[in-house]
Amino acid sequence: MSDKFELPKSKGVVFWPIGTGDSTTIVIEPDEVVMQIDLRHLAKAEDGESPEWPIVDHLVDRLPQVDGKPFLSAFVLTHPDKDHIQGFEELLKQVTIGEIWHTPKVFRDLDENESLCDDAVAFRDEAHRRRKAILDANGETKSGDRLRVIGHDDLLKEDDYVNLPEECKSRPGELVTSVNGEDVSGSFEAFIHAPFKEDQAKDRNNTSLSLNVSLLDGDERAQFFFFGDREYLTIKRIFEVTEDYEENVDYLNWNVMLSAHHCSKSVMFWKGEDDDEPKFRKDIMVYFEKYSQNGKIIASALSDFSDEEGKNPPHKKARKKYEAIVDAGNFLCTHEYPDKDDPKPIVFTVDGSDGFGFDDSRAKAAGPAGLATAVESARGASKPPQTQTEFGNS
Amino acid sequence: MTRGQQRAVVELERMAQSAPDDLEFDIEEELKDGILVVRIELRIGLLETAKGGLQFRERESFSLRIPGEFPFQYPRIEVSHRRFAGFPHVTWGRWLCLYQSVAQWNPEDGLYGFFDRLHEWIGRAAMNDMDPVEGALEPPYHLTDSTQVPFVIRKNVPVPPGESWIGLAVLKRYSNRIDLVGWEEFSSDLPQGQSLALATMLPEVLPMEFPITGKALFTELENQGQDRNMLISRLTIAALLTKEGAPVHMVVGLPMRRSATGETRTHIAVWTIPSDVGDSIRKSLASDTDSEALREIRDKLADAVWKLIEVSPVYWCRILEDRSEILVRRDAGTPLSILANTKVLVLGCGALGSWVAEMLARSSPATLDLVDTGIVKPGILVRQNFTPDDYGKGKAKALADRIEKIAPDVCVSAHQQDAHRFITGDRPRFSDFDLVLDCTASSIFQMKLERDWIDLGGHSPRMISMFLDAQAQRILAMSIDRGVPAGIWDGYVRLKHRLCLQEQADLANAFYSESAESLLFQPEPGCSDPTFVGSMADVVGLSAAALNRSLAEPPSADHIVGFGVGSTRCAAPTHRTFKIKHDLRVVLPTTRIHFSDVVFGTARSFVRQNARERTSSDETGGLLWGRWDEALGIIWVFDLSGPPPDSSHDNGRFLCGTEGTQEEHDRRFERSGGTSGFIGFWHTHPQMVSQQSAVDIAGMAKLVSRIGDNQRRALMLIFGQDGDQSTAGIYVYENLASHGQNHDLVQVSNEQIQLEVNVL
Repeated sequence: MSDKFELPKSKGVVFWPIGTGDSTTIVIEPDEVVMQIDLRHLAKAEDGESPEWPIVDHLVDRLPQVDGKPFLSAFVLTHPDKDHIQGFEELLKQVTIGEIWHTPKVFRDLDENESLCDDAVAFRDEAHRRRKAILDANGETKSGDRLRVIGHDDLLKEDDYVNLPEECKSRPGELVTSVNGEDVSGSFEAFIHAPFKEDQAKDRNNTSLSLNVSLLDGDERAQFFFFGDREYLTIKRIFEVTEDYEENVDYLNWNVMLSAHHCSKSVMFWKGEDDDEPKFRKDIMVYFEKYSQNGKIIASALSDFSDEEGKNPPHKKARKKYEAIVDAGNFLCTHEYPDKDDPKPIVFTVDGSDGFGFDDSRAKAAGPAGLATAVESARGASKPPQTQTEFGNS
Repeated sequence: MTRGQQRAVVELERMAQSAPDDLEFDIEEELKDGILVVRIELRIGLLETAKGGLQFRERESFSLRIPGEFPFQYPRIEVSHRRFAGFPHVTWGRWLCLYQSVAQWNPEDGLYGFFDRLHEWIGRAAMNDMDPVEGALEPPYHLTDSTQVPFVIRKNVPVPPGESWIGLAVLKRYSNRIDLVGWEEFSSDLPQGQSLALATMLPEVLPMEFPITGKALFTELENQGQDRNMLISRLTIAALLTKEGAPVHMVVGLPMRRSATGETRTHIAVWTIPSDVGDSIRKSLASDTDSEALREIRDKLADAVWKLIEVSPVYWCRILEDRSEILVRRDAGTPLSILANTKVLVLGCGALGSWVAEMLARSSPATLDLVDTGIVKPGILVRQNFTPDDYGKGKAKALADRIEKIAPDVCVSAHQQDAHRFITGDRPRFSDFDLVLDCTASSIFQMKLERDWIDLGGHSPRMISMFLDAQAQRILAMSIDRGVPAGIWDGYVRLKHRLCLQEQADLANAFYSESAESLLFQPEPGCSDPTFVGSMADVVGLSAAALNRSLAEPPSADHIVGFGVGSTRCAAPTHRTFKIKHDLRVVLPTTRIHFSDVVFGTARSFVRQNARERTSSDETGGLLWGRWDEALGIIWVFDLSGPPPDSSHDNGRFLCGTEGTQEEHDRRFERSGGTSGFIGFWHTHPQMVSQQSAVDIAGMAKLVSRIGDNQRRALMLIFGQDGDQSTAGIYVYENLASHGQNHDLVQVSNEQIQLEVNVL
C-alpha cells in the first residue's frame, strides 16, 4: 500500500518498504543528483494493496527529469542477487541512468547455484554494452554510458578491461567523490571498503560491495554504512583492515547502518572450524558500537523476524543483538515504520543549518509499551465478561 | 523454588506470552540464600525523552532477584553494566531503586505490580523526572565501617547548606554511640577538655555514590576547590585531635539531602581513618628538636602515609540522624491511659507494642514474650517506649530490659526475630499463649500468617490485632477467639467490606481510602518506611482504648469482633463494635473459599423469584461478587446477584447475560473500597445434582481462556439437590497457560458441599 511520497528537498537518504531486500535512494543534490543503491521491485506491490511499495514506479515519478525522461545519476549494485536487482530491466527502460557501479562478481559465478536472475542478466548486458561503448570511443565517457567497476579481479587484467580508463575503476581504500563524471565532493563521499582482492573466489554475498557514504552540507556530515549481504568474517575484515590505516578510520563511523543481508544472524553468529554450531561473536558488535555516532540501524525487511530452522532473514537473534547496541527507538525495520499496517519510507536528511535529521513520525510512549501490554494481558480482566456465558445441566 | 517463586515464574511466563517480542526471560540460577536469579530482556521502544534523562538501549537486559519469601518480600532488579551509574534511584551503579520502602509493595499484585513500577521507572528516567523537587532526596551511598559505634548527629549544622565552613565538631562519647552535640569555630587554640573532631562543610555535592578510594575522594574535593595540601594539613589536625590508638574522624557536611518539602539540607558524613594510620600521621610531624636525619625519615613516612591513604578504601562511620532539620517530629499531645493483662505474647515492639507491652507488664502477667527485629534509633523516642541508652540495641531486648526494671516479677523474654518466623518456628509454643497482641501493623505479616493458618491445625491462641490510621486519630482492632478456622487478616478483609458497605465513612476513609495513604510521611526523607503522624499520647491512648474494648467484648466461636475507636482528637470520638459471623469455609487443594453467610440466603431468594416468574424447572443464575487473593490462595465470596436482564432461562439451560454487569462491578468495587468485584458465576441445576455439565465446562473454559475475555480465573457455583439435601458444587477455574505453550491449559479444582439453607 503506497502513498504519494516526495523525495527529500534537502540532501538525504531514503530506505523504502519494499519487502525483504535492499533499495536505498540517496539524494546528493536535491532535484539533480540522485543515486540508487540496489533495487527490489515486487510485481505484487503494483496493485497498491500490499504493504510493499513499487519502487520503480516511485522512482519514475519522483526522479529529476532530463530531456523529458526521469534521470538517475548513478545506480549502484552491491551484488547481483534477485533481492538487490529485481526490477532493473524495467528501470532501465523507463529511466536514463548516467552511470552504473558494480563489482566484477557480475561476470563471475562461483558455481551453477549462482546463476543470474533475468534482471541481473539485464544488468550484466548493460555493463557489457557500456564497456564496449567506452572502448569504441577510445576511452571517452559520457552520461548514459558511464561505468565504475569496483574491486580487484583477475578478470580486469583481461583485454576487455585492461584498456578501460582508470576513471572507470575503483579499489578498496579509495574515496570516490564524483558521480556520473561530475565532481560532487562538497556533498558526497563514498569510501570503498570492499570487495577485497581475496574476496573474488568467495560466494556472491561475501563479495558484496561495501560502502561508507557521507552526505555533506556545510559543516554537517552524516555517514551511512552499507555492507550488502556480507557475513561475519568479511565484515569483521573491513574493520580490521581499515583500523590499520589511521587516515581511513573515520570512514568506519556511522550515523545509519543498513543491517547486512536484511538483518541476518550470519553477521554475528558464526560457525568456526572447531565449532559444532554457530556461536555469537561479540567482537563484531563491539566494532559496530565503537564507531556508532548515536547510530540508527535499519532492517530492510518484512516484519517477520524469526529464528526457525532454515528461515531466511530477517532473524530475531540478529535484531536482538542490534537492539542491544543502539539507543531506544534507534532500531528501525522498514516494514514497521511508522507502524506495521501502513509502512512508509524512512527518510534521513542532512542540512547545514538543521543538521542530521530524522523526522520520526512514530508515537512516543511514556514507558516500554510492550511491558504495559504484557502486564495487562497477563493479569487478566477483573470485570465481568462482555459476552454471554452459557451453562446447562445436559 | 518456593511457592512464591513458582508464582513469580508463572507471572513472568504469562507476561512473556502476552508480549513475546517485548519481554523475554531466562531463569539463570538459584543462589545459596534461596534467591532466584532471572534474566529479563525488555524491548524499550521509542520513549518520550527529556534532556538529562537516562538513555536506554532499544533492548535492555535486567537481572531480577526473586527472594524465597516472594510475594511477601519484593524482588530486586539490577543491570550488569554501569551505563545507569550515577543516575538518581540507581544505587551502587547497578541496582534500580523501584520502591522507597516495603509499604509501597503490594504482594497481591506480585510481579505485575513490580513491572508496572519498572515501566513507570523507565518512563520517568527517560524524562529525567526521577528526583522531583517536592520529593525527599535519599541519603548518599558509601562504604560503611560497621565495626565502630554510630555517630548520632544531634545538633543542626552551623551554616546553611552549600556554604563552606571549617571548624570543630563537639562530641560526647558513649559506649554505644558518639553524639555530635555542637560545633565550634576553628582557631589556633584548641578547646581543652572536650572530645573534638575536625569538621568541614563543603559547598558542592559529591556523587551519590561516594568515592571509594582516598585518591578519588581527594580528586572530588580538589574539584570543589579544596587545595590538596590544605586537605592534608586538615587531616593532620584531625589526627592531632585524636587519642593515640583511636581511629581518626573527620566530619564532612554536604548539600546532599532534602527535606520532605523540598528544601536542600546538609548531609553529614564522618570519614574515618584507621588508628594505625592516624598514629603514623602524628609520627610524621616535624618537631623543632628533629635532627636532619630524623626529619628526612619523617618526610619519607609522611609520603608513605599519604600514598597509603590514597590507595586505601574510604570508610565512613554509621550515622544516626537526630537533627531537627532532618527528622520530622512525631509529637502532638493527647491524654493517655494504661491497661493491664496477664500471660501474653506481643508481636512488634514499636509505637503500639512498646506501650501495650508496658501496659501488660504493669498488670503483672506470668510471662511476657516480646518479638521484634528492629533496633532503637533516635527519632522514635517521640512516641516509643525507649531511652537514649537503648540506641542501637534490639527493640525487643531494650524493651525487655526496661520492663524487667518496671515489673521484675514478670518473666520477660526478648526475641529479636521476625514475627512470622517466631510463630512458624515453634507452633506449639505459639498455641500455648493465652493472648497474642499483634502490634506489627504489618499487612504482610498478617497475610503470611493467614496463608499458613491451616498449619496451626485449629490450635491458634486468642488474638487481638490493632493498627492506627495515618494521623493516629482512630484505631481499628480485630479480636478472634482461640481455635478459629481463619486468622486476623481474614478478619480485617471482612471488616473492611463491612465498613465500606455499611457506610461507616469516617473509618473507611481513615483506613482504606487513597487519601489515607497520602497522609503517611517519611520520618527520614529518603528510602525509609512511611509511617503515621502521632504523639505518644495518641498511640498510648488509642492502643489502650482498643485493648480495653477488645478485652471487654470478647469474640466467640460464632463470630469475630472488630472495633473502630476514635480518639478525642477526631470529629467522631465514638467506639463502635462490629460483630461478624464466621464464614463458611471450603478448603480445596490450592484454594480456600470463604462464603459470607448472606450468599446462600440471597441465592434462595433469586431461585424463588425465578420459580414465580417462570417455572421451578427452569435454570437461573447470576454473578458472584467477592475478592480473589492469589497470593494467599483465598477467595472471599461476599455476595451474589441475580440474572442480568438479557439472560435466558430454559429447562436445562441458563445463558447468563451481560447487560449492566460491568457497571455493577464498578459500583461494587468502588463502594467496597476495592474489596469486592466480579469473581465468577452461579447457576442452578433444578432436581439434579450440583455436578458441572459438559455445557458448564465449555462455558467456563471459554471464559478463562484467551479465546474468551481473558478472564484467566473464575469461580462457578452450582446449586443442586441430592435427594432432599440442598447441595452446592464449587468449581475454581484457572488458566495456567504459560510461556511456550500454544494452547490454554485450564485447571479446575472442585468440591461438593451440603448446605444448611435450602436454596432449591
